[in-house]
Amino acid sequence: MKALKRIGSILKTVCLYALLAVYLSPFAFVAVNAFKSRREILSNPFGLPQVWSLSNFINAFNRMGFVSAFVNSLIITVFSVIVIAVFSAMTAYLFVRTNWLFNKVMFFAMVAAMLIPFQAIMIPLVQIYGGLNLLNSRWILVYMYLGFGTSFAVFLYHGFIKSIPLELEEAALIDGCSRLQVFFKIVFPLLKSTTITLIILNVLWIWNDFLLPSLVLISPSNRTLPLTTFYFHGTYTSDYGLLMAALALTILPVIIFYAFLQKHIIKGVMEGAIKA
Amino acid sequence: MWRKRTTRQEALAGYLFIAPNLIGFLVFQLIPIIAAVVLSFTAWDLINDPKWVGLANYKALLRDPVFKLSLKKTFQFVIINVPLQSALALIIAVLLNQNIRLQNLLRTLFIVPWVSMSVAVGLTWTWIFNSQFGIINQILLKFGMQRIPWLASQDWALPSVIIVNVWQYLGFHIIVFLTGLQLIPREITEAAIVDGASAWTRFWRITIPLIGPILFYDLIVNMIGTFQIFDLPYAMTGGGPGNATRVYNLYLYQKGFQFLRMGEATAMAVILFLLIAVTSGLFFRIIGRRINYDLT
Repeated sequence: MKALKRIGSILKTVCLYALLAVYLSPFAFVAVNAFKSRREILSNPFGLPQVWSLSNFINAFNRMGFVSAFVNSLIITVFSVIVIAVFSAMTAYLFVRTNWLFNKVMFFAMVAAMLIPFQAIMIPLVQIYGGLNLLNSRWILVYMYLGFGTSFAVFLYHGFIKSIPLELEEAALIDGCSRLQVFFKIVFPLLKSTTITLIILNVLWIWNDFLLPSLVLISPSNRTLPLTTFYFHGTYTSDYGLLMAALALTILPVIIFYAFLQKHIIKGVMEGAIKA
Repeated sequence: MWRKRTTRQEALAGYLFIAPNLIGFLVFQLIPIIAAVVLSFTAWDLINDPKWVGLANYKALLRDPVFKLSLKKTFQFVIINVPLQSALALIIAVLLNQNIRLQNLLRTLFIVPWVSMSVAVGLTWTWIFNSQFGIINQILLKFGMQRIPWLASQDWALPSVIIVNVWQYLGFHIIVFLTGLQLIPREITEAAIVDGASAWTRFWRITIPLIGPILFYDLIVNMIGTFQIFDLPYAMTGGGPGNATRVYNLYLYQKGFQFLRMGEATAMAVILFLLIAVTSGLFFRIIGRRINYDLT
């Protein structure tokens, strides 16, 4: 009976690993073929390349303007994520600690807006602000991310700030701290774990987002990584090796980010599930 | 407390600090939401000013066969994707939950597709589905089977996109279920084992009832997300071949930005919102009430 159980558990483990191998094979397919020439891909799509040549990567890197796209994505993501976290935390703090009607109305509007799909607002968004000539700027896009991201962030912080005891703040106020100092020296540090969760979820959202940047960023010099990859793919449809290299280059940065922060990312998803 | 200590001035200063995001929220979210509802009652082609047309956009949609088709495609997508994805994730999560040592490594790897950019993922899969040298068809040929035209065929295109969608977000759902499974007290499972309950019985009598709230949450999130699917079909097929993968949001996008029928596109947006609200509401009524929430 014991032996049978052992075999069963080994079998389960083997099954899981096999499943995982199949599951991750698309990445392997791209990685291996990115080193091959077009002819070699057609004749031998499975095997390892005959020569490990980096030429596809170098060509893709240069022709897609990887550096410019990467920097655009980086600027937009970093600034958006920071302003969302700081402003939303302040807003949630003010909403929790004062009970004005205005706050309640705004909080309700924000929670309600979380339920509206982005596609419902994208057309008026582009029409109104395109008409006002406000599109095609990375900074406007950052501001839009603040506008879209703040609802969820305020909601997340709101729940946490409610649990912070007032005594802490009162002590600091008596010691002569200003409100702003109280917030940045006492409240904001206490929100650290919520902030990490929020930052990670927002990085994944903004870095990978395609639709909003595709509507806002018109000139090629402003394009983010997903846009560049998409247009590059449209231009070089038949140069398979080059495309694989471009895809590998595009996917790699997030995977590196993930590898370093995976514990926090998984925790973030888990917390999200429990709170809801 | 705050009110006693705070002067009016201090509170106003507070609003000054949070003004940037309140304005951002108003300008980029609230105003466009209201504008969307208003625009859905107007005809607008970008060149001329919007004109009030009452319900004409909604009536035009009802006459539009592609609109109905896109609705049907979206429902097919949801009905196949949601149960398949959530069930697979649940099974894998249960298997992972039995072995803590393996769990950390495996759940890390299972979530990799989810963190990857969906446009890049979609484009990658167009190569995997490629009928000439894609891996899947190569494997089929090796085993002496026929090639499948995947994305090139009316019948296979939608299932292909669903496969990719299931694949990409599976890891996310696994994590959600693992969260639920870890909330089940060990003693309950152990007591059941002592009483001689088989794994099968334990799954249906203990696991399923106790992760009820998480299961419900996962299905709702999955359903709402799937209704809004856009990136993958946009990158993989652009809606084709024919209208085989023209899901709702893709058609909405194309109606607005390619055919420049803004009024009809915003009407579609309003309908989408109502559709999601009604379906989620029904879901809550039918299933939400029967769930035992006293787990934690």
